[in-house]
Amino acid sequence: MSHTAAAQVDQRPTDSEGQEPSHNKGKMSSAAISRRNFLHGVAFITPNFLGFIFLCLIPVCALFYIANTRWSAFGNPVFTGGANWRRLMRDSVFKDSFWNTIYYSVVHIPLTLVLAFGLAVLLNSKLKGRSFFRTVAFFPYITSIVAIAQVWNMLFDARSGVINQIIGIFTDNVPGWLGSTTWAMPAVIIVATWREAGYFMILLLAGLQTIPSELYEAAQLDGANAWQRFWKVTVPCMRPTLFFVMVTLTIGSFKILDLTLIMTGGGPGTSTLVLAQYVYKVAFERGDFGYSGTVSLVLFALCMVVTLIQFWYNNQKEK
Amino acid sequence: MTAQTAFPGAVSSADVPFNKKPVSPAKIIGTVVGYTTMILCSLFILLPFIWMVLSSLKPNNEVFMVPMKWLPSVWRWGNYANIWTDSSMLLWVGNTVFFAICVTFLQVFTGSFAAYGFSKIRFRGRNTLFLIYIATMAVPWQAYMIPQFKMLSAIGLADTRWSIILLQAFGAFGVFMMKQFYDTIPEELSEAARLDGLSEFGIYRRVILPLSGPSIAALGIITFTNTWNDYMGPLIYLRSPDLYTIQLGLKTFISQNSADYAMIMTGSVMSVLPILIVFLLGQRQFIEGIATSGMKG
Amino acid sequence: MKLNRIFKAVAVTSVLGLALAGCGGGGSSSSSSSDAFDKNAKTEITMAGWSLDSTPEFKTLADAFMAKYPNVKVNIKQYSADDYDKQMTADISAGSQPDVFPIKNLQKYLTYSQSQGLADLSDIAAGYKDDKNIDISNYELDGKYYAMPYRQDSWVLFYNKDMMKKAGVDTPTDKWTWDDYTKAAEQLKTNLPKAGYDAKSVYPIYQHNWQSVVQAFALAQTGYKPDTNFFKAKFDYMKPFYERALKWQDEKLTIDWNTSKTTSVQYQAQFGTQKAAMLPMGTWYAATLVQQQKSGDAEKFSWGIAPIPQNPDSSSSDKPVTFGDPTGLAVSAKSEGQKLAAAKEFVKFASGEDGAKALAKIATTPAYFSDAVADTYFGVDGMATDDLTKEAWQNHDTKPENPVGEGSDTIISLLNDAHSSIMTETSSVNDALAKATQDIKDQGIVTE
Repeated sequence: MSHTAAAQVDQRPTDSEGQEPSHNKGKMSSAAISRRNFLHGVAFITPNFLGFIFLCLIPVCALFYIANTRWSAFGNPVFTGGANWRRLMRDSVFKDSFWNTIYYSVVHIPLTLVLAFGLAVLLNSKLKGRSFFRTVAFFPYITSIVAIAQVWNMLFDARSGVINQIIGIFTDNVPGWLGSTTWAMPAVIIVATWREAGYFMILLLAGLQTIPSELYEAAQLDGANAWQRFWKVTVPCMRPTLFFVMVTLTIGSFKILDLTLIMTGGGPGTSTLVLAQYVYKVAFERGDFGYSGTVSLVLFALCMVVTLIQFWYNNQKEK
Repeated sequence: MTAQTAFPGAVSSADVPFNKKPVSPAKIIGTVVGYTTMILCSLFILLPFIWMVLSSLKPNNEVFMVPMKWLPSVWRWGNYANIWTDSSMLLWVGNTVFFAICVTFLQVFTGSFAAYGFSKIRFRGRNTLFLIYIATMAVPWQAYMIPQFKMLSAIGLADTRWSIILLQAFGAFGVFMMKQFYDTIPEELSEAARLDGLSEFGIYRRVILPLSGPSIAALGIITFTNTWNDYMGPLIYLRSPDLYTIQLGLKTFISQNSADYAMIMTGSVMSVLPILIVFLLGQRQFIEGIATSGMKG
Repeated sequence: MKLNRIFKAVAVTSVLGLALAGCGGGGSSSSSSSDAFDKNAKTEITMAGWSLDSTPEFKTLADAFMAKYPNVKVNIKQYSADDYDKQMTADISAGSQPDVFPIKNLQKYLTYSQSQGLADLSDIAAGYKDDKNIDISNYELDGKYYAMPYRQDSWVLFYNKDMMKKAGVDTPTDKWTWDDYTKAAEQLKTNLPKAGYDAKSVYPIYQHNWQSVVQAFALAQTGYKPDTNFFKAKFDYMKPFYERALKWQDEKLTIDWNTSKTTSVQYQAQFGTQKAAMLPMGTWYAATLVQQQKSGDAEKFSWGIAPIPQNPDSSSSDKPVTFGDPTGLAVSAKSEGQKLAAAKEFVKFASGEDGAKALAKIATTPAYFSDAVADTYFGVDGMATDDLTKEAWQNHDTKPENPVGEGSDTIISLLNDAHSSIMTETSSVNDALAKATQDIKDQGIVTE
């Protein structure tokens, strides 16, 4: 018995594709099944989809057009052909913000993922006081970002900040943090990770809880140690959740805006200016909604490329 | 094939594996070290919040004093009384609770419903449709905010309760999240129920929904928090002070008292408390560590 | 997941988008029959304002207007102080702006004027054109006016008489240049601690972290024409001003820019609690200071206003040259009939002497500077009343904060990046300004 279960471990969350028709064979033709499924599927999706089309999809599609126009938010957009794209190619501020976004994401994503996963596994155990620690971990996410950014800015203050006072014990060469082009981004990343780890911990925790304990039992009976159980049970069972966390974390990191806006305003110079903030700046500071649409499409493309790779990878793994 | 054959074995003794070993001295030391580390980490995580609470009790000019000062010279508890009398805090909290509950309900309900369709029913165009959902997440809102505002204004929804509810309730996030959680629920369960003659809605309600406690709790907490903390949405859509949300109200209050940072901190502390309650209620859904899977067939 | 399906989906959605973009609901002004104002007709108009409790100017104007015309009711709608322009952009875009609304600066005036959401106010402007007490020229666009000024703040030098007296440093005069300012600051640096002020937290001056504190003075006082410099992305004229700003910072005469920025130092607290003896700031601060000294948020000390120090390298005018944008009122092009007439009458009232007196009573600097208005202003309890203060308040040559024109927004935004690079000293003045020039050229705004 236990062997069959253990054998199932690896492929548990996979689709039982190929088996499905065999159950229903003789009851319905495949065309009828597909029609029935389509109707059912549509019925389930419709309530959400109606709202979604109107509130998200249509405005987003409009953006695809606006990105090729000159538009000050007033009157009708004036189509300019490829002018916005040519301007984008020459725009060095755009290039700065593009690379800053990549820099931010490449450091922030793995860091947050590892921390959040670690926290989730730890706080999913029968640890005493776990609900207290869960609350603590989620706390940064619920506190108002304006107030919290302010506090961090004071902690990071190059001369009188607590952080540099501590670092100053070990070395005289303390980082300038928010006043330095090299250290401003690391400071932003630290705060972002501090803020988001608990949030993703909640998502991962919810995923961990759907793993049936029987699987751990079975694996243990098969002699798997904790490390093996983690890789052979936890990770495969978590794949859909992990996929979700990866995609939202990636998109969220590429779209990071509020933190840099409040902490550094993109500075010093353009050293922490990220794409989403550039979109925001171009739209609301310069009143240039057409060009801001163009920049946001780049951001969109960036997100989609990475998301599609994740999709593809996830599908490979599921097969 | 039923769930029972797929996942046999007794459930009752299913504990966390690590907890089964007999207690050894090394383990006790490990526990002590572990707890100490966690408490230190907690302190570090909470540090800014502690500062926020302390600042809310300071005289205004001490809040941003350079060099930084932790403890107030005079404890000003009056700030907490003042914020109730000087602002329409009660109205804002009421509005925001209303918005957050409506949005959370709609998001969780329509989201999990649609997620079931995406996860458990195979139909043509499913993946494409799903990808479109995710694609909209990749577009920054501030880029299409104005077109969206024009549309909602055109049908007269600007400056109404509906605008905020609709704006938040139908994002792709909830659908995506719930779909991924449903993917972790074994296909065999719904297949078995289908063979037992349950309708799709029956499967959703009787089989899937009872299993999704933690994920619904997570989605609920997150949606509630996001609605609670949203500033830009209410800023663009709401003009009547009667409809103000807590973030919009606080921001207005702050600009009224532009230099009064102690009061700002008081407001920030106040705005955290209700979510804290929601979180504490919600996280009880994350029950005893690893769940007893509910694989009862 | 088949790729061709995705392409199909993208194609379909793009078509949808095109269809939608075509049916935008904005624009088209209907400046229809403009009725004559009938003061006996019952009319209600709406007006936008922000921070209504702490910014009484809107209510003051509305009350004064309603007292004069009892049949007109002015309803004030509250907007956000910080994000006013975001809300107004959304409103004008959807055609739902109030009948009367303020415009915070000239740059936004230009943007909004092109939206067709603003009514033509040229007939009101005609009445003020030759009035020496008010300057409406900043609002002229191809001979037309879409807004009228009702406030005209300008930058002056606030100084703490008590601190300077105790430190034995001469107070500012109307002849000061920035070099005199620096000299006084250096003297204060050595003398303030001797006079018993805390050397760690008290500074001689406070330079706020806005880009205008350096750049707008440079633009106003060097006397160059924006067309040959600013709009050509040539910023050499700023160099001496930045060198001075860096000198003040390096000699610790002011809180350094980075601390000021990242820890949100408030200029009100800095000057109001005697942490700085001199502060270049807009005249709006006088009202705040008076009010804060009353409420106890600011300490009680004797202060005054002097004309802003002048450029030591050249003087381009007989009056002290400073900067400051007027705040204007515009009327919605969507308003019609009596609403439109009443809204226009309101703007006319607010810009004129009656409105100015009402504003001066609450220590707000109006756009209309007659002697009667000045008397009202300096009659406010708690206001500094020495001759230099009066002189500084009334007599100056005020340039716009930024040159207004196509592409100004982008240039200002890129200059702001340069400002932060220079002031954090992560980049030299030359490099940062050269980068700004290059970036601006890359945006395709500057035509050689």
